[in-house]
This record gives sequence, C-alpha cells and structure tokens, in this order.
Amino acid sequence: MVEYGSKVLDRTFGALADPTRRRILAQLAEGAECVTNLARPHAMSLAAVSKHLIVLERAGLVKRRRDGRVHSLALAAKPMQEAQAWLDRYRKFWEGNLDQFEKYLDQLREKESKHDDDK
Amino acid sequence: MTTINNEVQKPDDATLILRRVLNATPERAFKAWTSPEHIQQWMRPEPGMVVPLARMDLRVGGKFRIQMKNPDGEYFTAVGEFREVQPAERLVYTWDWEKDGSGTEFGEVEGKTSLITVEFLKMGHRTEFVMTHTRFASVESRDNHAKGWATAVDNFATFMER
Repeated sequence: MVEYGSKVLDRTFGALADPTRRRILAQLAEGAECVTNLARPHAMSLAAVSKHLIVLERAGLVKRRRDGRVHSLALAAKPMQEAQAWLDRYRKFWEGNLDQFEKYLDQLREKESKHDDDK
Repeated sequence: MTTINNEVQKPDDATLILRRVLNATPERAFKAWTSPEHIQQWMRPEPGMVVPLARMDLRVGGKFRIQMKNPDGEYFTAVGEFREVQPAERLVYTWDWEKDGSGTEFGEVEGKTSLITVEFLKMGHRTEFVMTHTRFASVESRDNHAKGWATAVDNFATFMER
C-alpha cells in the first residue's frame, strides 16, 4: 500500500496543472491505450506526449504495461480520489461551522439591540 | 528531463475556498472567530457537537487548540499555530488534528498539516468572509497554487463518473 505523503500529492497536483495532461487522462478514462493512439489527437510530437506521460506516471495517475515493443497505458485514479476526499471532508466541515458562525453572529446582534432598547 | 523536473518543482495544491457575507462588522466577526468563549458557542461542524475546551494564543507563533466532541463521545481536536495576525482583517494559521484529542493539554498530532487563511473584508456594516484552506502548510505552496486547480479536480471527478 502506497503512503500518500506530501511528495506524492505534490506530483499529483503538478501533473494535473497542465491541459494536455488532463486531456490525456480523459482519453485514458475511456480505456487503456498505446502511446501512438494517445498522441494522435494532440498537436504535438510523440516525444512531447511521452514526456507528459512520464509526468503522469510519476504522479501515479497512469500505469504503463509493456507488451513487447508496445507500451499500453491505463488510468490509475487513486491519487485523484485522495485529493477529492480531502476537499470534500473539509468542505463539509467548514460549511457546517460557517452556518453556525452566521447564526451566532445574528444572535449576538439581537442580544445587543435588545440591550440597547432596555437602556 | 529538465521539463519534468520543472513540473515537479511547481506543484499545485488541493485548495478549498469558502465565501460568506456576514451580518456583522469585521471587528465583531474577527472577535467571534478568535475568542475561546465565542468559539465554544458556534464551533459545530455537525449537530450535537460540543466544544469542551478552546484555547487561543492569538499572536504570531502562538498556538490554538479546539477540542470538539460528538454525541457518541468521540473527540476531534484541532491544533495549530498562528502565522499572521492582523486584527479585524486577516489571519493565517496551520491546522492539524490530534491523534487522540481527549486530553486537556496539547497531544500528539497526525502530522497532516494544512494551512488556513481567513480574511474579513469590510462591506459597509457587513463583512465579506473569505476562507482558504490549503492542503500543505507552507506559505510557498499557498502562494504558488493556481486557483484553477480545484476546478480541474471537479472536472476530472465528473469525467470519471460518466
């Protein structure tokens, strides 16, 4: 089991920061592909696409399988899910807290205006 | 290989941004956000939670500890350190969870530190509240991150669900 420490997440987010790499991931989401097929829709050389694939592999987002001379690539969604889970947990946590915080500020204001009326 | 190294050196972060318009002045909102007696009143991520203890040493380098307890008696204790303190304007602090959290003193943390920035922007008698919660606890990574990252994750997640 891989431990998803900061370095792994750094690589995940770095890998996702590029539009070409996001498109490659989208292609792979449809199923495993060989490098040549992956490169076809992109206006760049096979070598350039290969570089992007290495970044994705290092981030653990893509797994490569060598079948003789053909390299086929498949999506590995685990690192992505980790980041998504982090965001979802904290979104829920802070939205709950902020609802209460707003209510509390309203209560404070009401108390104060009542206090003013009593004077 | 140079290209790849450059890519790795400018990571983006998981970043959560929340905005609210608060019916209070920045001064009052800031005080309610940072005073232990106020925190104990409002800090409730889920119904039924209570805050048995809240400690805030509100100065740069000062620490805080907020102990939350759910109806099942489980503790969720957040701790961190203030990095920037500008009263009624801006706060930057680290955020981590204690492994156990049931004690009354600072305990061992999980070590998955993240960084929170809260800003209180004056809007007449009201306040625009902006919270940025970032996965990594370095100011460098916070400054480097592109805000579009969260969108990229959302898009990708949507795609995966198809």
